[in-house]
Amino acid sequence: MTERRKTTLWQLLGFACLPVAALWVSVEIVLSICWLPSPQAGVPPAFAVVVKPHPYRVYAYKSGRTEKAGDGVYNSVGFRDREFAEQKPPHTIRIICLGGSTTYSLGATSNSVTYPAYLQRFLRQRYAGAPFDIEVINAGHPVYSSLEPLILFQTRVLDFSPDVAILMTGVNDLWEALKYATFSSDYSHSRHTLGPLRPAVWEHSRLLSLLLARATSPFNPYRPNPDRNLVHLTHQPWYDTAPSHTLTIPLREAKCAETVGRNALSFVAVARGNNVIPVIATETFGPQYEVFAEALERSNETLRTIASSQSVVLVDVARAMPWNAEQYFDAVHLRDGSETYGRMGKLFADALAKAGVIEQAARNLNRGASVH
Amino acid sequence: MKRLSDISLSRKLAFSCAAVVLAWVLVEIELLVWGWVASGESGPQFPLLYQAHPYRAYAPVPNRVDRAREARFNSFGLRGPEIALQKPPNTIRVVCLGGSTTFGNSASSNTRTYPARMERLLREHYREAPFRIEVINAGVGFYSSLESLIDFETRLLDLSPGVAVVHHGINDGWFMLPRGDFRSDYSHARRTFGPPTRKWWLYSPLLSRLFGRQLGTNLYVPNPNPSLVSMIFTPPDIADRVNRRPRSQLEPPMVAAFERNLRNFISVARANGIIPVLSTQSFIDDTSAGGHWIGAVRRLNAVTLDVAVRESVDAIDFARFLPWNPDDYDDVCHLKDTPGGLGRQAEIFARGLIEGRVLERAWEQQPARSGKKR
Repeated sequence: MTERRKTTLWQLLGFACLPVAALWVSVEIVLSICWLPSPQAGVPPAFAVVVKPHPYRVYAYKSGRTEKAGDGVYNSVGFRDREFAEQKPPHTIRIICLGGSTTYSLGATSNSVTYPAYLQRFLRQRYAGAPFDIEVINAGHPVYSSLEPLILFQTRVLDFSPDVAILMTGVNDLWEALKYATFSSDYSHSRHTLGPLRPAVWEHSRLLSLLLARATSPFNPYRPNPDRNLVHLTHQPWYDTAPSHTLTIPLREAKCAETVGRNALSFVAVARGNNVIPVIATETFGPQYEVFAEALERSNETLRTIASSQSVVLVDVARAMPWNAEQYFDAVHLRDGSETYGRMGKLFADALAKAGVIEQAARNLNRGASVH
Repeated sequence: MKRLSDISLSRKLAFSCAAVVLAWVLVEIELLVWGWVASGESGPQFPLLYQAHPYRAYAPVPNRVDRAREARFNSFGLRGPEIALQKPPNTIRVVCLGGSTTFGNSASSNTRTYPARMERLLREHYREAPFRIEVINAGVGFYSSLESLIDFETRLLDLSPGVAVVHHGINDGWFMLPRGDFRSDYSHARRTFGPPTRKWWLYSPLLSRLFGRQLGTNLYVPNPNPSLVSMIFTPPDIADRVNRRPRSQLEPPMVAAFERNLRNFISVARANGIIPVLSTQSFIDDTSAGGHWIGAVRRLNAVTLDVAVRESVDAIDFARFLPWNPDDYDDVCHLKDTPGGLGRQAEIFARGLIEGRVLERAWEQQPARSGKKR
């Protein structure tokens, strides 16, 4: 009879770990047999193909990309628009539309039916016999608040020698003010540069992807999370129910409106300093989220005050196109069509014509003031 | 008992290797424990004084201390004493924007930077005035005119400054001279802050101590002067590109971008009732090495002075008053922490503000002279 060998601590630990590891491996094997990768595996979400991080404005569009058939097509500058010459052609009035997804025209099924595209069509019709051409450029980027268009305007758009710049903003700033426990007016409390566009290491495990389903990214090969979009990938996690809220809702609304006003004022100053005619526009929010709608109205009121005090043309979209279920497909965005984005384009065209913006830009052209 | 000669060679080798590996592991464990004990409860940390910022690529971490330079960041991440967001009544705030020459790379404490020294000089000069003066150091190492402009618009305006002094040119040249693409938004060179990739062997405390003394990513022997360069510029390291074959001179779009940043700064300052002040920078004369850098800095200085004249803005021609010299400068552009170095810089800026009656004008255009936020 052989003597029984004494088991060491290391052997005990080894034996304890072995079944766990074996169980994990077997579960992974079983899952790999019965849970095939998602049909979307390896196919990144549509937006992820066309975006890249930017050191000064969170993200930018890659040049010359198409988001999906018929939707956003980006030119060599990275704007959702047709190709245009960086050097402005002679006798041309160039209008740049800055803003977030409402300017980008989320919901519009092609570049030619966005609000800037309609605006160009209406203005060209109206000034058909004029000795100048009119070019409208869509520089809208979804998720951009009032801050990114200001940075985009002064670091890139000015290179294109615009004569008129339209800033439509307000909605995306609500996010920064209302969803976080703290507030910093440079939005460093809420924003971050676009994160990596690939799954985290743990997401390559089927078991972990199953167990941590709520935390998966849109790039998860087994359980891609379609709800995590560009908003999530450019924001810190938000905790709108956190008990540590240090700011009351009215104070948040006030800070939001103050920040939007400050950025709009800087936009006006930079525009005028570069012989560009500034135009400000308000935005609309549906009644679905009362707090957001009230906060936006406060920001809109600030924009109206700035427009009045600075003698800037205001296009009051919030009043001219209030939310209704027929025209808006969610709380903010218009449905595709001539009755929606077409109407918005017409609203801007009428406002610019009524205020004599195009005539003033034409006079500036003649004086050579817009040659930068 | 077995004699040594009875043991096979392969076994001898195996035992020797095992002994070496065991010794290594023991030393690693010992050093690891020592490192944790020596660095307190938090364990060893990278000496990161900066963090990623969504709009300025990077920013100082609030309330952090840079012991290498005795620089203390306040709760706003500014090098200086704590300040209130709401400007105190009857106070004129002067914000100094710039890169490391404003931050005070060679200043041995917060009180010896040029903004801190200038505050003392101005307070002494205006001791009978009805207003108090607060000078804020908003300089951040490697910031260009673009980052300072964004910082000004998105944060510093909230501090209700009455005067804003811009001291830029060298770092913009740093973006422009390297060969390759140039983009006017500087995105060709800048990347959002992120620690450089750590080499695998730097996970070993022993190898880190033996071979990694100068590396910024060394966790166990922290580099007292960690380089920001690899963390904020797109690879390959821009410094390499500069050193290899820089452009011989600036091209028109580069000059236009710098000019545009200055003009935008002036527009935003004026729209907010702030008096803008521009200034030039000094750089070592590298003519013998090709003169690329001094040529670029001189060109950008000329742009600064030209913009100041065209926009009727106060300008301080610092490069003329204190050109580079080996007695007062620590390196190619940073002044020594001496009366003739940073002390003289503060005197030149203070004199510029006094002779231009900038503070009197700022006081006259204070909205209610009560410190009410604009």
